[in-house]
Amino acid sequence: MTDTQDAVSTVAVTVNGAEIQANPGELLIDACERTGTYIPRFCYHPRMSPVGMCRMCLVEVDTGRGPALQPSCMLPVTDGMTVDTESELTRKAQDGVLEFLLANHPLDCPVCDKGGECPLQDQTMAFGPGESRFIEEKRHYEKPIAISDTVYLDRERCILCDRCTRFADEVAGDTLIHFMDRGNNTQVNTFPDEPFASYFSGNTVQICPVGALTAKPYRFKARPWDLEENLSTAWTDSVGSRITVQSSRNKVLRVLGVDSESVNWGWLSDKERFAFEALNSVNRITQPMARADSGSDLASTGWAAAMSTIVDVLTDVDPARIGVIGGARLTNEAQYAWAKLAKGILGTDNVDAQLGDGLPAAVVLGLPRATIADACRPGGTIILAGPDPKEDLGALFLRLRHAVVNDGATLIELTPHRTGLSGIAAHSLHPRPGELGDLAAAVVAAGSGTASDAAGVAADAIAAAAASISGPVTVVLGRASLAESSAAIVDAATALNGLADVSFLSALRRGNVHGALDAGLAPGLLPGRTTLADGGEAFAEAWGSVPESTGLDTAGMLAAAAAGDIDVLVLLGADPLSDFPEAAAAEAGLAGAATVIAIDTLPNASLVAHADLVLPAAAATEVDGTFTNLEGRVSVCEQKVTPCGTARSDWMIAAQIAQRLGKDLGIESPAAARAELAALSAVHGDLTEAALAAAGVEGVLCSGNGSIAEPAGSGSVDPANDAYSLRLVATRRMYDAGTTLSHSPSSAGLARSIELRLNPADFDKLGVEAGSVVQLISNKGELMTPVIADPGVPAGSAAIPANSPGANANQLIDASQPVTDVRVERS
Amino acid sequence: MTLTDPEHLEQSEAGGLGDNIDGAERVKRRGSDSAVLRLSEAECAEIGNDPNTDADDERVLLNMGPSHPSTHGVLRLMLEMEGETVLRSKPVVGYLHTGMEKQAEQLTYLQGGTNVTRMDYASPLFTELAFSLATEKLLGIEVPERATWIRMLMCELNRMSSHLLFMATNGMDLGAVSMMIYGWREREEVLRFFEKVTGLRMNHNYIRPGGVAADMPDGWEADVEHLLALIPPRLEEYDILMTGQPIWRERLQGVGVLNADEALALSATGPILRSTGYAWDLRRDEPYLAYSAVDFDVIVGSYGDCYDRYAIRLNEIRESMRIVEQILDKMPAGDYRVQDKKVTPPPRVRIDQSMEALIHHFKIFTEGYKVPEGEAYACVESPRGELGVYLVSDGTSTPYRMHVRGPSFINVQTMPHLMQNGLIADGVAIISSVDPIMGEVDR
Amino acid sequence: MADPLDYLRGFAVTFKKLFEDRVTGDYRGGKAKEGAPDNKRPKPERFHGRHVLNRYEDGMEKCIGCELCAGVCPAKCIYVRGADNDPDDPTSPGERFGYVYEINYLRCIHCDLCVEACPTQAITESKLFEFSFTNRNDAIYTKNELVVDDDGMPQKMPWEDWREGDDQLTSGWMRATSSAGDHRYEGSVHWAGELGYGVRAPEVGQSAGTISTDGGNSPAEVRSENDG
Repeated sequence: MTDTQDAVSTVAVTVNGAEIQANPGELLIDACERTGTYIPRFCYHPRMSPVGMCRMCLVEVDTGRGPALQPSCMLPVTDGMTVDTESELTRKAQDGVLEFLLANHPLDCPVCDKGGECPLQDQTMAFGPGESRFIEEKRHYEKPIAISDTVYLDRERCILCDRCTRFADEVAGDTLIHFMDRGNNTQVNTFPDEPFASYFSGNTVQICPVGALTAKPYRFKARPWDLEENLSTAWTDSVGSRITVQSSRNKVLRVLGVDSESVNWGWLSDKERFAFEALNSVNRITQPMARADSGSDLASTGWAAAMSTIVDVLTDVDPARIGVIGGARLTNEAQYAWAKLAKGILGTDNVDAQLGDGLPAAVVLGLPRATIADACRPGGTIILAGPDPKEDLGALFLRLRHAVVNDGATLIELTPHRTGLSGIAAHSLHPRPGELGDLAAAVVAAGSGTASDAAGVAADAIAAAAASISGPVTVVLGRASLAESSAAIVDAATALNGLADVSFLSALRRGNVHGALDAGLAPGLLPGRTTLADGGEAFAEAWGSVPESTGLDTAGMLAAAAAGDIDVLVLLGADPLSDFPEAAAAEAGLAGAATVIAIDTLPNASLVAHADLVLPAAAATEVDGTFTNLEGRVSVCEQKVTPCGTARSDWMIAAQIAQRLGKDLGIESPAAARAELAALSAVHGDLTEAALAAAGVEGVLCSGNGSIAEPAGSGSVDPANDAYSLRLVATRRMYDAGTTLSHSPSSAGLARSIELRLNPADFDKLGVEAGSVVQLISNKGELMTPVIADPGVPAGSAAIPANSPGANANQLIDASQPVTDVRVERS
Repeated sequence: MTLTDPEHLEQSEAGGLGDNIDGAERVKRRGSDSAVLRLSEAECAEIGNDPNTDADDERVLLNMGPSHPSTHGVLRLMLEMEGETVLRSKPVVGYLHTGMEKQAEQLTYLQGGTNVTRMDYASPLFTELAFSLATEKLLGIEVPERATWIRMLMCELNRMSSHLLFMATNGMDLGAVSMMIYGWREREEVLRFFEKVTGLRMNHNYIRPGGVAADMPDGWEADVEHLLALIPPRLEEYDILMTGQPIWRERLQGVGVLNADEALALSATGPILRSTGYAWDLRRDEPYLAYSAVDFDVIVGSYGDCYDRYAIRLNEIRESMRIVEQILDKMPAGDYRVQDKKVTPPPRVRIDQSMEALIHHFKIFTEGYKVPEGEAYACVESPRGELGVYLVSDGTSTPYRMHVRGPSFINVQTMPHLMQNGLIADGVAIISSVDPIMGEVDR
Repeated sequence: MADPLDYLRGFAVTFKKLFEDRVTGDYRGGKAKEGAPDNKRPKPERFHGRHVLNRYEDGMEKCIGCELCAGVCPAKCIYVRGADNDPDDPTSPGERFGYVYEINYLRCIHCDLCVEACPTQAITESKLFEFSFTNRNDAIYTKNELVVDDDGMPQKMPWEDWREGDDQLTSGWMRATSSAGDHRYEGSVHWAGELGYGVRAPEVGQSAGTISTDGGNSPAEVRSENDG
């Protein structure tokens, strides 16, 4: 935000007789709004370029050549400008524009979802004529046409403001919706046979100033006057987009994006927007369930009985034989409560919020961290060494895209194959799977003058990429493919850390995983980005005791459980069978643990197959607390509806377990947990109630590395290259067979079935045809999948989505190896 | 603390019965000289629980109400009695408090009428009128002439029904049970007319900002003429049954006396003020609607006693009928609601024809119309006195604050002064003659 | 001194009443035994009674689930949810119909703002006022109970006291208020026909019918007044 008080750099504009100070280049409509004069508009949106389509913002402007009507959204302020937004001429223009807009508008208000919150209605009331002179037949189109699985288009209602089309073009880059025809027949539509299949289509519904675009999940569900809303934070990925959760009659009916300057700019991915449906699912776990013996089904039980069982299994168990997997679903406060329960009371360090699909905590917390705004600095360089943000972190994708397209940021991709950002990337380098570390080192080396081939990428491409690095560098770091171990990414991170002015933005995808790391839900970690070694003493004092040695991560716990070394495995909103990279290891681990306790909101594969005891947990819209996003920014999640059935908040479950074990967790509310965290943590000191309230939609950034040291590279060896095999790349997609999505009626059908993508050059070598169904074989298992050609996949790689309906890549992956090789055979 | 505690209950020799001080000074007195029993609930309980209370003390604290048939709802009076004489008293209100003024902040100006009409439920149209006048002041709109005259007609009929109700309850309170039946019988005739016009006997939401909800129904003149023919002979009967009745006179004359200075000092308005001989009627003194275009007399009394208050109300019925007769002659034709598209919803047929009309219909009924920022006070002469509505708007479609200056609430504070040193049996006559409507007192 | 006769004159007034017609009627709320009189005073046309949900003459429901009634209700006693019409078997004309419609009569104050707000004249009021309940569930009328039957007749709940003609005057308040204060629209029809009753007659207006309302509006006239 620019400083408007700076007298040197402002211009004086007279608005309705009063002088205001505006920034040079600022649009008149913005300057007026900032100083308290609202000019009506339909097409203008502050996050998109002005087009002057609707003419509603016409005002009478005198720049020295006499007063004239000019669209204030297209007019930058100039010194000495005189503006009258209430003159007779302005009024007449507004009146006329509205009359024209309404001439063809259908009499739909009573059946239109926008009714009651419609800018067209509001401005007709405020500025429009009270009656119509139009008696001719209105324009007619087929009533709502479904342009995608979530969006309906009613062209009769459209006022051709160009907002949705501009969004699709400028912001999302999915130019799937456009104006067609001319004159009175001008309409917005999709291209024939091409649905509006954008991950961001819901935003067009939110910004539509009329009811032309409506969302299927909200269709005819409620009216604005029976909705209540809370400011909250999106929970389906780790961007932490700010949202309002709107409910009626104790049921969440809609989620809308809120404009947060530092995070999502008001945009949401459709997953963030529509995933609330899962929380209304009839499949929600509403009461505790228990399995009488290993062969029987889960049967409902009561909380008292369930708690007794937990006390029985946790009493007199060697702490090392207890494991806790998961916790990224929880709020920061619940995560702290669980960290305290596991590490302080139960005494186990076998705690891991990531399921072997993330990065070591030291990489996430120990490197210099960047914010989203840092990454999007004009003139900076973004190095993407992680997953495709478009698939994993939708709102981040929109911010990065904006930075590259509009602010001159340079994007260099170091990804296994093409991503949603490749089209705008300055350089797309696709290393052989498992060799990212080599490529990163080569890029850094090329920067100091010595370019060489690395990881299958040519030296000149590396040199060109290295040469384009300028300004501050932000590395977006994450686990691009589940089929390669995190070692290569650690290597890449340590190598890239050698660049000048570099910082790292974590791209771990899962909900509140960064909060979980900050709360110490990782082996060897304590709350506040501190290690067991550094913070053990202080926490032992506060908690009574802490584990003596570093425990096992998820892979370790599953292996130990399979070997009979773990008795109690707690799944805290975790589904290892679906999410752990190696299905066989997860299966063996869950089967090997004597007791599996699952605490979750919805049934998932692991819970159904292996849980001995299930506790219903309250979901994101049912709890109070805070959420930490990938920058370390803490923002509020507010309870909107009551928990489903007898479900309880996760912090409450932790407190009850402690109490039943005869211990006092000392936490009686989320606020108490937060206060304790702030008091004990090295990085959460600023996290006071006052600071959270003052921060509003922006949230409180908890920066700093705590006591986590920068990670050291593992110096991994290049995996051997088998001439007959391809290297597997398993990437996430936005819509997959995940638990939340498969319980959201409008999103469930969007998950595409599995497909293998190969470089066209590989087809001849393998002797398969594009479109045919092939067999994909690894040393762990095999899958049947159709195969298609994709030049975006480098030769030698076999790309499949990670968790498709009916076929999960983790059946193939060998998590113990740096990469997984697969063979493709005709079936 | 005992009943004889000088600080609380000592009866000053000089300030007791036969005190010569009168006028505004009397009502302004504090302490033991006052007619008002300034005793908190806690102190009262303490006295009641004190075993050491002097058994020979003849003064008794008596709670009358809140559930007592003669208290007109849920008025509670805390009386300090000596024998049957009321020394001091304290009206305790709040038993019907439902937060209506606060509720008004949640309701749009269109819905507001349904709320305010429930305050003084015996004369609901007056609160609707005051609310509408205040809203119209803020909106800066002028209502059509016909709406003004319809409002006047309905209000005068409502004044009749309200006073007829008073006749009934006043009679009942004093043992004239036939009078109760008769009063109710005549009131019912008026309510039937209301039902025909507004669809409801009470709580009409008929007078709305901008005009009235519906025009007069077909044949309304005949109905009004029927009322005008029916009621006068009945009032003659009342005169025989009560006005000239020696029992009635003895029961009311000289009971509950107030003079003009006292009434003014207590902010009393309406029949209570007029009974002292002070001719104050907003219809004449601050004319609203079209009262300056009709002829009527302001009825005043001369003694300020219960009998005067009864007689004033009886004769106000006659004056109202005089006004109604003139309205019948003068009722203008034309619109009955202001034709401002931003305030009045469009004619029903237009919402199927015009986009603008549909939008205005939709928004006026759901969000309501926005009222410009500002504040306004409008008052009318209700059957009980000055009824004012004070509105503050912050520019939205619901009031930022609404306050009602309710005559019943203000008039209740005359009770201790009217009752002081009278008999408790007269207390009933006095409560009845103040004619408070508890719905409006508590709001 | 009081005239002693004044005492007696008072008694004479009450005594005379013995020979006058009764003003009260025999009313037993529909529960009279065989042959016993049970008279109910007819209600005026505009009376606000129990609501009904109407149908068009073709049998389609008028309610489109728009929730305007719920939005305007000052007592918040109406609960409406819309849903998509099945294109092959629509419940109401258009895209949307009232899927849930409930009125809680323990809350309803019968102000009839819902009737004024309804854009399709779906909700109107009958003249029935005797519906007292013995449990809370009965007091919440659901759509099944409010919607008129296949002949357009209001459904009669066991505890209600319906009399001949009680259904005839339905929608009086809607018709009375439909001109919205504009005298030129008085006395004209603003509404569609109803199943079982056809197009109901408008009230006789005080200066009726200068604007035709059967589709051919005269917007120029309306407009020119606005401009001024």
